[in-house]
Amino acid sequence: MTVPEIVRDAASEQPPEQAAGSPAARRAPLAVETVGLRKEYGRRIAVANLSLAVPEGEVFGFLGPNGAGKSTTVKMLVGLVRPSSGAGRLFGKPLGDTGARRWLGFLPEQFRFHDWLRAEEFLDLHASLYGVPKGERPARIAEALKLVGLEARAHDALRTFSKGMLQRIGIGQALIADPKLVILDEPTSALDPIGRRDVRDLIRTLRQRGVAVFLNSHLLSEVEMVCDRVAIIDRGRVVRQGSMAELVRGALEVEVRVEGASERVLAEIERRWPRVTRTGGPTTPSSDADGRGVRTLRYVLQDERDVAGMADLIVRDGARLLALVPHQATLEDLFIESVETREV
Amino acid sequence: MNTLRIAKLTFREAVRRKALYGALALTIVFLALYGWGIDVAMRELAEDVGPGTIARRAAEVGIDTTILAVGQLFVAGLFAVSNIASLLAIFMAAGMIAQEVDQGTLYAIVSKPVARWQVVVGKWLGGAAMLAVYVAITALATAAIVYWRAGYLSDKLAQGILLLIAKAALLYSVTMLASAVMPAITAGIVMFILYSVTNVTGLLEQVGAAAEIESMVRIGIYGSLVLPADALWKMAAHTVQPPNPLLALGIRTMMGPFMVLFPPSIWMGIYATGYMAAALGAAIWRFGRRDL
Repeated sequence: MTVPEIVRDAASEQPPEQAAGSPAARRAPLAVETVGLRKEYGRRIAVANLSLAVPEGEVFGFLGPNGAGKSTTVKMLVGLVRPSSGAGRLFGKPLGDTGARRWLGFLPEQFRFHDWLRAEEFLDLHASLYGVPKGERPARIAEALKLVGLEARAHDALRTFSKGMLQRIGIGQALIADPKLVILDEPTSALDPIGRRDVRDLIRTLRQRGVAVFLNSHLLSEVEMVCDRVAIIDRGRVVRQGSMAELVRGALEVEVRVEGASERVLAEIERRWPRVTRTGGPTTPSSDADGRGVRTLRYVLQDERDVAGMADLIVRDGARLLALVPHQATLEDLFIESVETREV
Repeated sequence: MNTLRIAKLTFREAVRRKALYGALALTIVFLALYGWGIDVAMRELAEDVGPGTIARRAAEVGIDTTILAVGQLFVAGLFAVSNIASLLAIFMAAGMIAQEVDQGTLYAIVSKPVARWQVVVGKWLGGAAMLAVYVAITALATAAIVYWRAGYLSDKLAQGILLLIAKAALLYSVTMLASAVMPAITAGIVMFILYSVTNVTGLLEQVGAAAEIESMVRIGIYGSLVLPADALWKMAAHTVQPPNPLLALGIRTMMGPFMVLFPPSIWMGIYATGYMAAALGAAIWRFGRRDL
């Protein structure tokens, strides 16, 4: 699959099942589905025509630069903000339906809790709001405290908690009622590296239990490590959506350094693989500056076997292959590319 | 059920944040001074009154006007606790929605299977319950001091206390509506001004009625239509104050600044009830549509 095929612009008129993206999305029942979701604040458009689908059990990364509309989208999903137009569903029920929220766990980005409550009281309150019966709550509270590593602080008031501990207890309240969908808005922003790793492990645990996770994060490496699928949004629109494999592992780039390559072989290589000419990358697009006929070029390959094919071509031409370095495109490359494209 | 959970949370927050304790502590200081004042006043009243005064003339025809002074002191005490309760209601409700929206404490609540109206009604119930506790304790304490030192006890005390609670609850409802549409501090200031101004128009109404000046009475009624808190106060005061013995002498006069000569009609009571319900309804409607 080449890169342009997986670019999905939500602005194009796609039927919902196509907007859903991967085949997996069409198979499993959907935890989250939005079609043409839009939010305007006066004349400012925060979210424009957003179509997403997150199947149950999937870990979904939601990325975008600041002000792209991520938090507004999340707030529409959990019922804090009313969409201006478009529709959305959680577990097949329209947004704003309080019944569907029984299965939703949510960690807001800019949260503050009732800090005069003790940790266990706080979790008890939120469990009760989910309708967890009184008898079940102590066990759930103990489990949640253990899950987020705060067993020792159960009797302490939240006002004595550090920012990172508040984030942990916030995750605890999101998980207290065994949700089927967990929406985490920047869950690790206040955590240290160990805390971040704990959250990644937690997300993996949730996936094993079949819980869908909607992860809104700036930390691309984090998203890359845990997400099955991602959507990148910019200015309220989805600019890319696909599985991590499609988006990142599908495109393999190689950097080639050759001496004395003939024009014929260079033309042949270019015919078979698209050359990367983007600026700002680590390599100069093409250079013969030292006069020895040394060129450094970058191409996009279909898969690893193409590396051998390219080496073969160069060697048979009689040129000297100085370096052939595969570069796995990272989510960061993809992110910057997607967002910059829209900037033009 | 969720409504009651939010109510409980609101009540507990008021208690834990010491708003209730603070108000009660200051009220105890006030009541101590008040009791001392009543004691002194009763001793002064026991001494003989001068010749030619209303009290002397009343006494000559067998009417004891001491009750007027006692009533005056009792109603003044209730006025003080009712005012504290009113300010408590305004400043508690001012942040009830606006501040929680700003701080983001509502995000984790509203995203639960909780309807928006349950949040508003729960907060109303919790706050109203706290105000009811405060008013009941302080008004009963005031009545007890007056009974202990001056021997007066209204047989309609419970009814009067309910009216005082209604007044605080009315202010609480209207301020909650203000809190749903404007920032906390603005809501607090607007409501404080409205409350103060309508207290003054209420006083003008009493003076106007005693002096039979129609336009002053009308100003008072307009004020009560804008905010019927003072009307509820007058109904409460008139319910618990002693009957005016001077009416037997055909003297129609204001019985000091606190006692109420002319209570508002029952229609004003009905209006105040409708007003409170409408304010709560509007707060529910506004908060239900608001983006958080």
